[in-house]
Amino acid sequence: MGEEEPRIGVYVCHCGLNIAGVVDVEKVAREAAKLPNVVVSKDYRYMCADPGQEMIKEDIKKYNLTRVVVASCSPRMHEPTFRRCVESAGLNPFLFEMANIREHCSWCHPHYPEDATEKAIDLVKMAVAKARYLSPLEVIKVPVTRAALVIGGGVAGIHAALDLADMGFKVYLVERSPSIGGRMAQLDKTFPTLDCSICILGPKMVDVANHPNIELITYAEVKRVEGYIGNFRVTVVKKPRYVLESECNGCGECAKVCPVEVPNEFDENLGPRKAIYVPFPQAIPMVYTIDMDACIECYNCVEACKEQGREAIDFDMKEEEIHLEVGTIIVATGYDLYDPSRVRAYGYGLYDNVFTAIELERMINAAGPTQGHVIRFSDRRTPRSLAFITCVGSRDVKTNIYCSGFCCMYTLKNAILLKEHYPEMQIYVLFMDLRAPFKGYEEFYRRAREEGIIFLRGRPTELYEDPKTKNLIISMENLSTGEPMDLEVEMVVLSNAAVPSAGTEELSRILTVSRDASGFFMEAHPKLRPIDSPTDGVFFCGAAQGPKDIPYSVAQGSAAASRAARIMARGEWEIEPIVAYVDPERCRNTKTKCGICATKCPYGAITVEEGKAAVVNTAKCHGCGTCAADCPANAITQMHFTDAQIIAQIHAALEEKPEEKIIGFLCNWCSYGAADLAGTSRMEYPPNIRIIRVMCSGRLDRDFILEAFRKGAGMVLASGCRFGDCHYISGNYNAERRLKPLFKMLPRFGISPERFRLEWFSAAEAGFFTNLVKEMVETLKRLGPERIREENEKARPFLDRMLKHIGG
Amino acid sequence: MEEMPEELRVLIKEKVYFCYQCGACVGSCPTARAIPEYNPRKMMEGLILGEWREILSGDLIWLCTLCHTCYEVCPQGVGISHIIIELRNLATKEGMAPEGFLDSAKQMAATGYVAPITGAVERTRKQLGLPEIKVIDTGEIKKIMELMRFRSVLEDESG
Amino acid sequence: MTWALRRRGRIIKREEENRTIMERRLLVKQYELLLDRDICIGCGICADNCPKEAIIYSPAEFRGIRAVTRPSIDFDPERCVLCGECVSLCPMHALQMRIEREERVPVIEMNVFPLATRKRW
Repeated sequence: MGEEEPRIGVYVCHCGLNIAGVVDVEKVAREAAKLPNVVVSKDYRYMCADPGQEMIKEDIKKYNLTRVVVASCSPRMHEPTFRRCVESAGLNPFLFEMANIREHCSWCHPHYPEDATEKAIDLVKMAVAKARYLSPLEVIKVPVTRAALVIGGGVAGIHAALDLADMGFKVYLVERSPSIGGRMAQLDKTFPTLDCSICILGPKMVDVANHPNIELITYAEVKRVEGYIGNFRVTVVKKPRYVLESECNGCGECAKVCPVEVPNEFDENLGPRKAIYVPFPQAIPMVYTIDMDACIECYNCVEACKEQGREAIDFDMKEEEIHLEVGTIIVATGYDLYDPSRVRAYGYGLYDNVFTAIELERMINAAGPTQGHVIRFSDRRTPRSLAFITCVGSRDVKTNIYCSGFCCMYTLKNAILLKEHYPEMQIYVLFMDLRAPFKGYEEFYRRAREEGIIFLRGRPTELYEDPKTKNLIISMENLSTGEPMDLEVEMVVLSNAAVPSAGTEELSRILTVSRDASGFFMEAHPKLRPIDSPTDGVFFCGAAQGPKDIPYSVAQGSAAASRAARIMARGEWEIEPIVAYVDPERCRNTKTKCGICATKCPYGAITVEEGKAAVVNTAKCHGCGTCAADCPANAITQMHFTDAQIIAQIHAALEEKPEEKIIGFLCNWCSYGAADLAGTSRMEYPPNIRIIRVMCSGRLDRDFILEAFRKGAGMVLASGCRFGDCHYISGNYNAERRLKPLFKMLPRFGISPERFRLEWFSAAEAGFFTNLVKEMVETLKRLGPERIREENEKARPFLDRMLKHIGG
Repeated sequence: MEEMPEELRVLIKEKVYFCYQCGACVGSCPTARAIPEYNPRKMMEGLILGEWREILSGDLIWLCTLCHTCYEVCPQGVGISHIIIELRNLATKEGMAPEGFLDSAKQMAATGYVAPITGAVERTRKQLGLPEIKVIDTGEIKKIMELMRFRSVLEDESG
Repeated sequence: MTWALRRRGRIIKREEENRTIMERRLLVKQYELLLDRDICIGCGICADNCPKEAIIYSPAEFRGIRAVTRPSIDFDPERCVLCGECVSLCPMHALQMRIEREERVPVIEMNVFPLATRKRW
């Protein structure tokens, strides 16, 4: 509280008849006027309309108001409106508070006008109580470096980099392998139009190399990322390629004289490359690399290079650290392919003529190791029959449960390509469900059928090799007859699934972003923020976030570029001041080793050094309040949702008839949203509940629940998003860990455990919420006010002792 | 038996509903190779469609060799062989188990041997110079059967 | 049949009577390095000079002053790059390299022998 007594103005909105039709708004305004510190209290038809806002602005000047409370709709609706209104009258926007008497009151209790009015008075009382403790907060502005880092030079990363560079931003494109191009460079053709893959990707790769705004850093990996949105400091480690990028012109004379041949990873190890190599002829940058694991240091390449009048080879090259300063980071690390040798039943790695799809892709590619011929391993003969097996390493609880999405389509593509090359070949596609949902894909499937490719539904159980012919016999069910059958083919191609690329886990740690159950990067919101990561200023695109085909990856690359540009274009970025603050006086880490807050923070925003008080990096803090609730010394304050404010709300709500009331702590994003939706959907429920909004269920201190019981509450509800849906990554898990023990604790004080409810539901589950309130009121009635008072009396001495620090 | 038994309902809800009818079980099934009418995939489909009475009263569930290959290969973790065990237990409870199966089970509980030991068997063994059949302490077998809830199933049936 | 899974491009080492065979099978090319143990006297020149240190040398075992086993060599398939240096050095011609079943020695074809030896003297 400020030094001066706050001067509060209360404005009760009629919202036409939306509120006034049920709630006696005039009575609410009259009652509000009686509350301490309230200087003026008015009601008006539409507070959000211009005259309503003007009224507030005038009153702020006339009565010298220092706090404003508007009782109207949900803060999720008009809080920004009124914040702007009070700000334009010279008041700090965070000295404004809202009482939700429409969605949470008039709309859901239309048949109990008296109870609704009483509830509205309570809600206003709670808002006023909180308003007394509000303090002015300043929006934090951080400068933004106008440069971006793109991690991964596949088709998604290339498009993100090109778009940003065209917009005029500096882009650093870091690629792990010696050349950009990624998976798409390996492909022969692309579905559904059968464009030559490298023909459409090659020019883009050249654009990257030639763009004045793009700095290409290949054969390098991101090792460390520090800082926050707008101000990331990135350390990139560039591996030595033993060839000077500035000197090498890619003539290839060195490779001609190199005596060592090893399998070429780019050709999926089907063909050889030299120890000094470029992965493929169109590589960007066109610079040779020495594979030191294979090099025998004969220096033949040095001689050959000299003969060309160059000295590009440097055997003394060392690993190099590059330091970059960027404002945003785009992660486009793509995918790896599932290792099918782990599904032993399909015999990959055991039988010669079982291939993976990408191996077939390299074979069928005219620039590949076989110059476009599809041949068997056992006799290097083109097979007369071939079967594709789909869903290898996907849609299976034993491997990966997810559908990898694009495998059906690339299987169709490969089948069609084979049919074009070898019209006589008998081609089978063994599938469970064939998924072809996007533009032109179903037509492509139709085309495959037209080509005479045989589609057989059913998952092959096992395949084995005929030791003489090296043909493969697939055992499966013939689903049309329901009988088991054996299918003999000369070659089998496994359509294996996409899995997170190697290093995804490490990068998720470096960037403090989370991963989903399948191991891919987890977006901030699956529907509305599919590109954003939970860490501000970090974006995902392409298959790093989940398996994707080329059009989708390109779209995401451009989307990520625009999301990043949105931040960099302004030059500075505003951060909501609803963040956590550590009181260095109270932090016990100065004396003992604590650091609990740092381990609980989902964003890694808190740093704890031994012997020093913990420090919150405000730019990284998202304001969930988990640390504030978990701090054992109560040294952390979450701005705008402080302990004092929330406890004031609890006290105000329970002033009268507490045993009939339910205190509901609802998280802003899901459960408060569900309560709002219940209002807008006009779902009715008993008016006993008093809702206190917090940003995240992770904010819920055990003390809040106990304090509510100490003040005589009939029941308490704590709720948040469903698991996995938390808007602050892990707040609800922390809430559950902290609050679940209450079910065991409460009976020890004499309080029936059913009087506390811990529930998780999404913003769409208004029905769940209304039923929950109904159910809770049933419990309340069943127990009866007598028993509740009795229980509370019994518990009070324990609670008083536990909550000494709160007082009151 | 009008209502679906609770244990079957739970089993179908927790396991069988995941079946996406890929046929991996049939491809691997040794019984299906010999007897084409036996088709575990169709059996699961039947359970999903609510035809559990027909399945329980039919002969097909008794053809499974319990080799558990289908359990191994199922991509959705339906655990078909385990479901067949449950189906057999239910059918036994309802008195629909084939005579031969019950006789063997009772024999097993009583003597520890599946086949009855008759005088003829003992004579033949003597002629062939085989050792006499050992009398088995059936206590452990009974205990195992109890733990497997098998004895109660048997008793339900007989009583 | 063994369940040892063959990764594409890996060198597989196998023993065949008196021979050790290191084989790398690519789809389009096949490499073999063969050691005839009957001929090899275990002089260790190859092990000393292998540029990738892929040859493991085991000295003779003695019982008193009598040697009970001959010194011998073995290959590390993870390190070997099939350059043929050892083949060109072997004084006993116990080693042989074949590419596509044809006798070939890459280091000699590329004229780098003996530049690539590990010890430089």
